[in-house]
Amino acid sequence: MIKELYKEVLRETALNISETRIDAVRKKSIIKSGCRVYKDGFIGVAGCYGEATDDTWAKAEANLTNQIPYPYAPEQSKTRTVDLRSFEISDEQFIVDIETLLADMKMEFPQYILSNKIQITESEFSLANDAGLNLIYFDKTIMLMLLVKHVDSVNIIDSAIIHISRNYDLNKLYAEARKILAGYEKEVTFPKLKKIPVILQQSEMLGKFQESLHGEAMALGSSMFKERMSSKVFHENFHLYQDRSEEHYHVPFFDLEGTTQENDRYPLICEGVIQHTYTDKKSAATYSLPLTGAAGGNYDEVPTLSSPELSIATGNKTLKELLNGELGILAVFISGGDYTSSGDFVSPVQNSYLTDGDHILGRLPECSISGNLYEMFGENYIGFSSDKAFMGNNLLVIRMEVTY
Amino acid sequence: MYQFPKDLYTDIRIETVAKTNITLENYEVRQNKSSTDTGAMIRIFDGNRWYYSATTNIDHLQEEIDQLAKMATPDSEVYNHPVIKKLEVNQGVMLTYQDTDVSKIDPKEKYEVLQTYIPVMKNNSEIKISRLYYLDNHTVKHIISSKGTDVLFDIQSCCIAARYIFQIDGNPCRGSENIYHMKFEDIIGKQEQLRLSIEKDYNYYKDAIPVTPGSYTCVLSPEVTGVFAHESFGHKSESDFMVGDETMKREWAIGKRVGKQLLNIIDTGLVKGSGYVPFDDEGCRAKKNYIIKDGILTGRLHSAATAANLEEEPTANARAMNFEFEPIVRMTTTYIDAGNQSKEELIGQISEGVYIESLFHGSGMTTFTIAPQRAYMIRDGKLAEPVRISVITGNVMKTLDEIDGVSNEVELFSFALGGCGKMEQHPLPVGFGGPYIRVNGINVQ
Repeated sequence: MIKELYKEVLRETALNISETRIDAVRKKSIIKSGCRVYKDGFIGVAGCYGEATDDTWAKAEANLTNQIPYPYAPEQSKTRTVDLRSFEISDEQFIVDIETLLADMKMEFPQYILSNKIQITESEFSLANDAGLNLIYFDKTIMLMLLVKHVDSVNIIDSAIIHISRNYDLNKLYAEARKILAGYEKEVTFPKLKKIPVILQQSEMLGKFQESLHGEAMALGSSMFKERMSSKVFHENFHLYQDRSEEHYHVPFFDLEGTTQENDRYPLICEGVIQHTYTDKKSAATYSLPLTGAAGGNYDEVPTLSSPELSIATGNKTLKELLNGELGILAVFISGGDYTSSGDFVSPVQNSYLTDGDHILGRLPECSISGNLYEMFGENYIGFSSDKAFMGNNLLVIRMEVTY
Repeated sequence: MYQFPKDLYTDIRIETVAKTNITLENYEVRQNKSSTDTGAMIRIFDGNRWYYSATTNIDHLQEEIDQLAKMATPDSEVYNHPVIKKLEVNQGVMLTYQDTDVSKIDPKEKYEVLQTYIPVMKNNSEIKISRLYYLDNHTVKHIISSKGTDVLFDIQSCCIAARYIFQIDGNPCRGSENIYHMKFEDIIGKQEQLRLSIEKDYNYYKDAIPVTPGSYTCVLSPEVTGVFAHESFGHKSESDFMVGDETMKREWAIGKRVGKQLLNIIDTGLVKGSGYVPFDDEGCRAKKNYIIKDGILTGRLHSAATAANLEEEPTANARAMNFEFEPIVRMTTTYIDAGNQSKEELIGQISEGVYIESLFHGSGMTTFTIAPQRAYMIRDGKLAEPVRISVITGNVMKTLDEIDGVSNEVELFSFALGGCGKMEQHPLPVGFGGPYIRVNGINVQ
């Protein structure tokens, strides 16, 4: 019998912003422990808030009677610690700094009301067993997610200031806020083109890939890529990875089964060719697929195949270089879009800006963007920026139909 | 009992959640878990700022309170602050589900019930991937405040959820059904409900063709009406969006006409379902709140803080996703009330339109969006061919005024999986529903 402990620790100080001032301070200290027992090809699991106790282990062992099959070897003899924490700041100083930031913004831009959250989050994930597995991951970020509303607007939200970083750099927060608030001032019109470069955060557009690169879905014939494996169906510059690297925040380098990959990444689409699907131990074994390490789930559950973080490989061009002299639409608020079963995508864009890749040139009216998956990541794929010009992220550029 | 710090307002919400999750992946058991967890949220107010602490350290709550209080500045006038004055003081025990507590049912019995739904799924050979869930949740909340509130109450849900994917003409087609009730006995023997849903989904996907994009008169089913009401207007009624904003106060003045006389929208925590909350997370007792009555804006949703700010009364809409979060203004069960036409009459008057029967998801702020699942053209007053639609959208305020027909029966629904999202707090269980409604000028893509 092998005993294994999975643990999540979350510590957070979140400042709630209302009317461009801090109206609340929230502290979190949450520990969740999941105990697993492997015996005779079965797994027993149990969990609790706080540290695991003898009772939690006893429950996990008792749950072996549920006879949940797990005929796969738990990871063993593997140790690694990744610590991405890079700053220390007291709550008192954090509050003072953000009070100052908000006061400055209020003075510089009195026509806006800022709300929502600015928070420092520290996480710890660990997985250890009595077969020599000991994986530990720490991360710490400051995240600014401020909603912007113009005092004369009847909208609930007009725009957003978004920034996340592992560095406590107030200058960057100021710069991001000023970029958006100054950019909102000027109303501009859309370029007169049938298809316009649209600049997006990659997470907005990768949902269909997460659905379709699911190992089991592919093996059982319910993926839209079923007939396209090993075929070049996307742009040759489009490369997609399962990604547990430090590109993503608060995502440990190991999955819930302890599977790890070289450089914490696994290629799924290379040069536009669909090469692999993502798998956990069960789907890899059942369908004879390479194991990628995509087991997920809640802390107290049997690990199961779950959508992992995906990343597009960054190219060697900045956002400005990708735009190549054209103007693009930087989509800040995109909500409610979806694909049909055949891959046609439509989404309203509630807030966007016109940009040359360096500067925000002005605010655009609400619009709708659309395209087909194969075209958006095929002939209409422009690239994924090497720089983080806006929102603290590398940005995806796709030529799309825009209606307004 | 707790020692509350002097000259500060304090409340504690302790949540004990007992739940079971049994999951069958392609008919093989993958999860079979019953657990009971307890966590707490402490709030302290000093007249200037709130301080919150979410903790799993339940045995040391007094220490947590004392520690949190150190961040605050005591104020002898704090109980005269408008926000604290608005907080209701309630006491009592309302354990509605003590006798039918799902956590006391043997998990083997739950597993056996789930298995009775397998043959229905297996009956359709086109289902390539399936997930069958048995999910229950019995939550007991205890809210205690330094102002005198002491309420203990419970909420409960029990459901079978089916998720399945067909492969039709090379495309994956997703379908689902939820059998949601408050008591275990009520989820037994509902196989026909699941069978019908699978049959409808399969027939729809088999024949669906792409819609011709454009502006259409749409008839929404009660399920879609509920999500439409929630997304189009419910979120706009959450008054935290209006705090300190004179433009919004003017725009949302009580008494303003926002729809035709046939339009009534209600939010209430009193309806049994996933929006049932006899007390909100500040201990305020649930009420029936008319947001729109006869087409006129008559109310909005409040916490104590927003009620104080807007000089109105709390509506029991201060809700948190769980103990890890502070309560913010959220919906409970939101629905459009019944009108006086039949579904057939609503459809019969349309020469070309779209009937939206079910949906994947919705969202909404200024523009609402719904991603339909099953949708059909309406031609010459009758349902015609099934059509594939990515999204339907519209401007909230314009669209409300475009509702010109409301059927005479209301159906209410609950989420088995998922719920409402607002900023970081997702998913929050809410109820939704309404009658069939007819809406002009919806953008269909």
